[in-house]
Amino acid sequence: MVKLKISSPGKSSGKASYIVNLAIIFFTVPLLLPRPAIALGPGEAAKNTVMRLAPEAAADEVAKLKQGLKLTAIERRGFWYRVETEGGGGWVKLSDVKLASSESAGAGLAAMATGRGATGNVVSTSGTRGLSAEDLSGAKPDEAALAQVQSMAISPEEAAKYADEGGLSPRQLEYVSAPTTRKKGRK
Amino acid sequence: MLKLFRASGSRFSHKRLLLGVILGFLMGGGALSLAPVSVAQVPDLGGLGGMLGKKDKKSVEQSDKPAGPDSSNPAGAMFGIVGEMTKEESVEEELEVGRGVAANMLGALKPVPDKKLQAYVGKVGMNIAVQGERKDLPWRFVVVDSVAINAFALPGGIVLITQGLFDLLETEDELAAVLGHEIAHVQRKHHFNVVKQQKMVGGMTAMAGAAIEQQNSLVSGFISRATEVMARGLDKSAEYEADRDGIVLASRAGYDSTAMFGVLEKISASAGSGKDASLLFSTHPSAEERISALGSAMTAPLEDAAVLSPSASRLAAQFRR
Repeated sequence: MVKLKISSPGKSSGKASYIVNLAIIFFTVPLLLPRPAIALGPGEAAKNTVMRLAPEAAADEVAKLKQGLKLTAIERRGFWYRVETEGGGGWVKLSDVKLASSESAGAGLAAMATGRGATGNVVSTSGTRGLSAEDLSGAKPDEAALAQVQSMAISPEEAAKYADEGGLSPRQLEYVSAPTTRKKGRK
Repeated sequence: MLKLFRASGSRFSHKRLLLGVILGFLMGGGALSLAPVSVAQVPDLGGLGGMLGKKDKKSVEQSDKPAGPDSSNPAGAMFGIVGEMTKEESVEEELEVGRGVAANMLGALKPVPDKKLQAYVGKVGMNIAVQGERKDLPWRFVVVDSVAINAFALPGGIVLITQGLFDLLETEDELAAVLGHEIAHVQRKHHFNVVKQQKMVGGMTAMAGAAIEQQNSLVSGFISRATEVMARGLDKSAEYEADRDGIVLASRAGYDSTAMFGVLEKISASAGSGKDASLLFSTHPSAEERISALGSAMTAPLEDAAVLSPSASRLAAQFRR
């Protein structure tokens, strides 16, 4: 949308606006298409569930999946994963799938090879400085940076105006509780 | 007593306030009242052992109440009695602690010098903050210069998001999901409650027998310990709670209720990619556990809000090439 401003309204150069339009399409269309998404990786059915032909509750049933059945999640659309199983593929409710963890939370490093395509052992991060707990707890206070941050206030009106420009409309929604039947964690 | 300290109005007033609070504990015999505080409420006090989820199930139930004033929190109540603080004073104290912690955190994480970026994140964040119960806090949303993937909610409403995490995001909806999660931490006073309880233990043992001239350095020591709470992380149940509240807040503002799944997928994929999410991983449940917990918590109204917002492309349009 910002790109539109580049073509000044006074100049009616058809070619220029054609290029601008092309550029807009080029940049925005990929955003609107369902993304191929990142490889979600291996997992299993978290409970006995149903695999469907499309990502919606009313879609035809492809197969019943037993709890613990191995699968690979390929992509997500809303609350649904497209999965592959040995017996074929389909869509399963996200909450019925348990993905294998790609990280070793205890060590804080992703040294586990999970078998998923792109992720293997962690590579050296030399050259890109990370952030450790010690960096934070050992930091010296920076009052100037704090003053700078305090000066960065955005008023609710400014925020509301920007939301409005983006076409956002607020909704009424209640907070949700923790699921009562949630399975215990890995450990 | 606290009024006395606050009225002094010097530039060290926040230190004095804290000093007063710590002294208040000492004089009020706070040590005795520590007994009823359960392990679940002080998750990390004993060290990292508390993070391994043994008490997870129990504390998920315990923290299952709507966001808002934490009057039912035993620590809050205890604190109120010991320090004789009104609610207003308690917020003032939260802001003071927040400023101290923020100054420390900003010592390690500098605001990115990009006004357009900061204004953008500030506007998106503020629009979500006003969907909650603590609209009047001095909210700030700041992109900080680190390639690491992380975000922090400081007591009192300062939210930091690293450039590394911002770069991972594809849509404004995903940014909203991240900021919603952090706003939820502030609303529930997750970190502040840990800080308050830690203050009783650490503050009192250190203060006992300390000379007056040493107490100033003890106050800055307290702020350091409060900063360590940010580095050490919260109980798992608090993270799940912030995930749930966060998507509700972002969805109220008009964003896609499933955007957090996209964020968590990206965080998951960053494991082993060479990007540094190690601190995030060590302070949060795994991305997969969070996806599964969030998925199970979905309600029909939230499922109806699973639509990419009309402003989704604004992030990429302005900040991606």
